[in-house]
Amino acid sequence: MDEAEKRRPLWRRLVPRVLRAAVFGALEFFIMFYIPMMLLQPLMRVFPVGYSSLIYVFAAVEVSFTVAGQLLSGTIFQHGLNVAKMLARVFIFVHALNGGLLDLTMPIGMGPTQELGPTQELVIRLAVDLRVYLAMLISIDMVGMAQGILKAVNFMAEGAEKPVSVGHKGST
Amino acid sequence: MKQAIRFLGWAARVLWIVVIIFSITALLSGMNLLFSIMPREPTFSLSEGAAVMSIPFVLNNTGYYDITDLNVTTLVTDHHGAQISRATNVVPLIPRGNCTNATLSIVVNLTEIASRDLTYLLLEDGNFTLATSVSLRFAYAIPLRMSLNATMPWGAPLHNFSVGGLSFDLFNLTHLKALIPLGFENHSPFLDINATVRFELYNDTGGIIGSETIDLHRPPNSEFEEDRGEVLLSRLDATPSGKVRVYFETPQFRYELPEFRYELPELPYELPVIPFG
Repeated sequence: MDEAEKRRPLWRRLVPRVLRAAVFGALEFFIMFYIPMMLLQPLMRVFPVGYSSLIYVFAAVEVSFTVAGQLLSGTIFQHGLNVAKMLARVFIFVHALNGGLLDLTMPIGMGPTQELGPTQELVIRLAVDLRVYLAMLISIDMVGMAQGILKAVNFMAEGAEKPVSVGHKGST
Repeated sequence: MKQAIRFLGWAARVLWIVVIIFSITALLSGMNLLFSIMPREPTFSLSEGAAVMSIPFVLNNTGYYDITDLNVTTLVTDHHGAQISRATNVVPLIPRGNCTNATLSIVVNLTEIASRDLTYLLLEDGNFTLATSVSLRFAYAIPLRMSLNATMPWGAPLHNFSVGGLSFDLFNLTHLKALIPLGFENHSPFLDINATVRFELYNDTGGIIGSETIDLHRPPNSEFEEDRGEVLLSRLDATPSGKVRVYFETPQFRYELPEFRYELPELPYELPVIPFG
């Protein structure tokens, strides 16, 4: 925060941040919730119930961190929140993909046949090993986390490099 | 420092784009694959003592990635958990854009059933459990395993099989006629039974005293019907009791029933009166 901004009244400093946070939050909501839900809608009947709630949790975490990050922009906390967001993502991905080993059960019906008699109820069990995919997601988040840490270090370094202005009340 | 931050930012963006594209294409390919390996209507056939259920399936790889190490295995077990059949199909590679037709054949070998300790399957109705598992490697990176359990009713071809309750008739002075009732229902939906049944009667010393062969026909899903074997036996060789063996033979299987005993009743007979002088 530079000196000019510090001199502004509190409401003038807060209003742009709140507006920016609202815009970024809405954008994040659109990208992280609205588009995935729209794309995954046909698959929702196949996925178990828990997965749709995980998408809500993921979107909520993303939007919360983005809004908080925008409100605290220009401070060290913004970078801290970025790192925390990446960590939260890693936990959500690991939880959502069950550590990379997914096991889904899907009931399907099979039409009646002359030989088999009435309609048979079949249950398909799908086990997918997504550990490679999970590793890809985690590596991206690690890159993001590294970027956040570097930004925080850079922020601190820039703060330290600024000249310290000492006020003089009078001179002798 | 700023260069490194900028580089990491771009790296993350590029990686995100790659992962998102991979996710979407893999999901679309996976959905296509899932719907293309749905089993079609099974067909039944009979050949050389085996009932064969063929489940054709088409694996149309319309996705964006190759499929490797496709392994389709079907295990059939009966209602007692005994293994009836196991079939495995292996396709090493299905390149993207290619279509593979495969048929999963489930063979229920009736000859084997009759020769193993599975003869109860000839006599008892039940349910077969079909455990099918499909495993493959998707895009050389994602192993996937799909298993499907289904039950299939098993209709015993010799359901409610009953034999016994022998009765004897006097045929002539030297011979008796043993009447052996035999009946069963054919619950099998595909097996047309044209059987030859052989009855053998033994006396207590183990000597054969009479035998007879009859032909039977039971169409699939037929009701209970009783037939009767009529065995002519020598009265001189007969002992007060003995045993009966019944052999049931069809082109598909041969079944020997457990032997059972009979008691020869006291039969009234008159000696022929020969005019004297």
